[in-house]
Amino acid sequence: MKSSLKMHKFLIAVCCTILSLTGVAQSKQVDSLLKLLDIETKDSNKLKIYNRIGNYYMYNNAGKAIEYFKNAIGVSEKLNQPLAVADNQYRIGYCYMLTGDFDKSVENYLLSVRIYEKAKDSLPLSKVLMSIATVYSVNKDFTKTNEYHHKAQMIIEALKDSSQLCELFNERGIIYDQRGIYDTALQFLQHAYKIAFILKDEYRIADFLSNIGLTYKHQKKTTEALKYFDSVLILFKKNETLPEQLAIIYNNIASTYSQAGNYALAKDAFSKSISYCMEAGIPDIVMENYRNLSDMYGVTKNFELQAYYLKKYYTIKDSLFTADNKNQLTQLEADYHIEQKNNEIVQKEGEVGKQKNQRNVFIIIAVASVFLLTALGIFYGRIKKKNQLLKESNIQISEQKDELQNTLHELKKTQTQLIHSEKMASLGELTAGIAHEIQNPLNFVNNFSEVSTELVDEMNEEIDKGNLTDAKEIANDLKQNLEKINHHGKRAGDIVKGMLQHSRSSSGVKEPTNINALADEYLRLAYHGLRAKDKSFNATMKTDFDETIGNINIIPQDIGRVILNLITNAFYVVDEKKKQIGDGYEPTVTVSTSRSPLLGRGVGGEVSITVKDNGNGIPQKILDKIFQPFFTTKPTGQGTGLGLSLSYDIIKAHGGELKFETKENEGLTAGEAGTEFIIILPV
Amino acid sequence: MKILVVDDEQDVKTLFEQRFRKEIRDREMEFVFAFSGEEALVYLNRHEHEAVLILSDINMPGMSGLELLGHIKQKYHKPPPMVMMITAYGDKENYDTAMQLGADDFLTKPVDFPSLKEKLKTIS
Repeated sequence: MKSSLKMHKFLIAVCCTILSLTGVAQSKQVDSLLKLLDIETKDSNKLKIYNRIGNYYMYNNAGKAIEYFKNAIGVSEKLNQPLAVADNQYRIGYCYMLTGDFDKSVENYLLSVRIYEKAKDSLPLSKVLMSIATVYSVNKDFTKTNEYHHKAQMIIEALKDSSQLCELFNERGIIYDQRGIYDTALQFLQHAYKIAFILKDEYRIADFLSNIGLTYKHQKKTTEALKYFDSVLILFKKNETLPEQLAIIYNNIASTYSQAGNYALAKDAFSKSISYCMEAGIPDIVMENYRNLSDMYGVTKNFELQAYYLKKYYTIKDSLFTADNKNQLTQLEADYHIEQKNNEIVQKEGEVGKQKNQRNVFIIIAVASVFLLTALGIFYGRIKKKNQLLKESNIQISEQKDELQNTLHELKKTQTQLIHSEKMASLGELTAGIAHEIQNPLNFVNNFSEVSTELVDEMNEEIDKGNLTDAKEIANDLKQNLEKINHHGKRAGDIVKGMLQHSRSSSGVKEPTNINALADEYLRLAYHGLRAKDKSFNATMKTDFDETIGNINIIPQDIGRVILNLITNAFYVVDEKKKQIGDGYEPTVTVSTSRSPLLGRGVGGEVSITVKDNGNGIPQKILDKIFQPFFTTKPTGQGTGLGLSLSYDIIKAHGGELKFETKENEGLTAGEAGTEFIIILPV
Repeated sequence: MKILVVDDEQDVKTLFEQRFRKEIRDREMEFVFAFSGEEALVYLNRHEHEAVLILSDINMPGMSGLELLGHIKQKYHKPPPMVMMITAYGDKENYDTAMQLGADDFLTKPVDFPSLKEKLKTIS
C-alpha cells in the first residue's frame, strides 16, 4: 500500500464530502443556500453564502466551486476585503489542483501569495506556500518543491509558530517518502514528531507516528512499522477517537501484517478496519481494504476469495465513481486490468519461446565446439549444465504462466457461477407468476374454441331454418371468438418466450424494444410471482408510461431482468412495511418511464425508467453497500444479494446509469418515506 | 338465479355470456360482472341479497379473491351468498385457505364449463 496518512486524510475529506453531498442531502443544502442568496441583500452575507456553496461543490464539481469562489472574490473586492480575496483565490488554486490543472492552480495560489505578502499576514502565507510546494511535488518538480518549502520554513521560523513548523516537517517527510527517499523522510517525520511531543499535541503525535510507521512499512521493515502503529493505537484508545481514524490505522496494521506474511493477524485487522469504516461510512477505506484483501489472497493462492474481494472492490469503486460521473473510466480501468493479465500470459509464452531459441543457439555452439575441440569434454559438460539450468527456468516460467492462466480462469468461472445463481434465483421468483399468467390465456383459448364449436352447430341450425339474420349474428360472434383465441394464444406464447429469454444467457444483441411493454410485463410477472408465494401479499401497482418513447435499442432480457429485480425489491419492502404498520398504510409501487431529449435536439437524449416504492427507505448506514455483491437485507436464504449488483453491471454495460434516491422513515410521517430507483439509458 | 362473476380480465364477461347463452336467453340465470374485489363489494352493498352465487378469481390486483371471500363470509351478508373460487392456482395452500374462509367450492382454470353448469343447475 503506497498511500500515506496524508493521502488518507485527503480521501476522508473527499468521501465525507461525497457522502454528505449524495443525492437529496446535497441538492437540498445547495438549494436552500441558493434560495437564501436570492433574497439576501447584504454583501457580507452573500460572501459567506458563496463561500459555503463553493465548499459544497469543491470535491464533486470543482468547476462549479470555482465559479462560486469567483463570485465571492467579486463581492470581497466590492467590500474592499483583500484578505477575503486572498482566501478565495487560495481555494480556487486548491480546486484547480483537484482537477489536475496545475498551471492554473499555481497561478491562483500566487495571486493569493501576493495579497498576503502585501498584508504581511504570515500564517496563511506559509500555508499557501506549502500548497504550492505540494503542486510541484505532484508534478515531480522537486527543486521547486524544496524552494517553496524553504520559503515557508523561513516565514514560519520568523513567526515562531511551532505547530505550523511541525506540519511543514510532516509534509516534507511525506513527500520524501513518496519519492522513496526513506532516510530523509524519517528525519523530517521524527522532527515533526518531536515538536508535537513538546507541544503535547496528541492528535498530531498520532498523525506523525503513523506516518513514521508507514515509511518503515514502505522500507519493508514491518516489525518497526508495527511498533509505531501500535503506539498510535494506544494513543487512540486513550483519547476519544473517530471511527475513521481507527479504520485507517487498522488498515495500515492489516496490510503490514499481510506484507510480513502473517495472514491470520492481517485478516483480523482487515475486518476490524472494515467494521470501523462501516461505522464511519467511508467507502474509500473499505475499498482499500478489499483491494488489500484481494492482493493478500492472490499471494496465498486462494483464488476464490481473491475474486470475491476483487469484485467487492470494483463494486464500491464503481459506485463511488458514479457519484463522480466517472464510471466509464472505471470500466475502462477494469478492462485494462483484464487486458494486462492477458498480456502477461502472452508475454510469458513469448519468454518461453525466446528461451527455446536461446537454447538452440547454445546447442549449435556446443555441436560446433565438439567438431573443433573434440577433446574438450569438460566444456561440453558445462553446456550440458547450462542447458539443464535453462530447462529448469523454462519449467518455472511455464509454471508461472499456468498459474496466471488458472487465476484468470478461476476468476471468470466464479463470475459465471455468480451470474448463473442469481439468474436461477430470479427464475424461481418468476415461475409461479408464469404459471398463473399461462393458465389465464389457456382458459380463454380452451373455452372460446369449445363454445365456438357449439356456435357453429347453432349457426347451421339457423341457416336450415332460414334465419339468416340470426346466423349472421352468430358468425360475427364466431369471428370475435377466433380473434380472442388468437390474442390469448399469442399472449401465452409471449410469456413462454419471456421465460426462455430469462433463463437463456444473454444473447448480447440489442434490438428495438418497447420499454413500456417490457416494464408492464415484468411488473405483472413480479406481482403474480409474489402473490403466488405469499397469499397475504398485496400492493397497489401504478404505472405512468410516457407513450412518446417508442422503441429503444436495448438487450431486452437484460433490461427486463433489471426491471424485475427493482420491482421485486420494491414489492418486498412495501410488504415488510405493511406487516409492521398494518392498517392505514397503502403499499404502493409505481413504475414510470420518461424520455428527455438532449437540449436543442429532437433525437437522442435519454430514457429513464423509475421504480418507486413508499417503503421505509434505505437506512443511511447501508447506502454505500446496496450495490455490493452478496449484500442483502433479506433473511438468510431469501435473497442472493446479487440482484442490485448485477443490475448495476447490466445498466453500465448499456452505457447507462442506475441511481437511487431514498427518504428514510425516521422523523417523517410514514407517507413521505420511500425509495426511487432510476435506470437511465442513452438513446 | 343471479350470479356475480369477479375477475380482473374483461374477456371473462364475453366468455360467460357465450357459454351460458341458453340459460341467459331462457332467463334461468342472470350474470353480473365485477372486475375487481373492490368493485364486487360495492355491487354487493348496493344490491344486497340480489346475487345468490358469487364466482371469484383469486389473483387480482388490489383486493384478492380470498380477501373478498373473507369479507363476504365473515363481515357482510347474513346469510352469506354462496362463493365459488376459480383460480389458476390449484395448490393445496390456496385450496385450504379458501375452504377455511368458507368457500363453497374451488375450481381451477382452465374452467370446465360443462361441469360448472352442472353444479350451478343443482344449486338452482
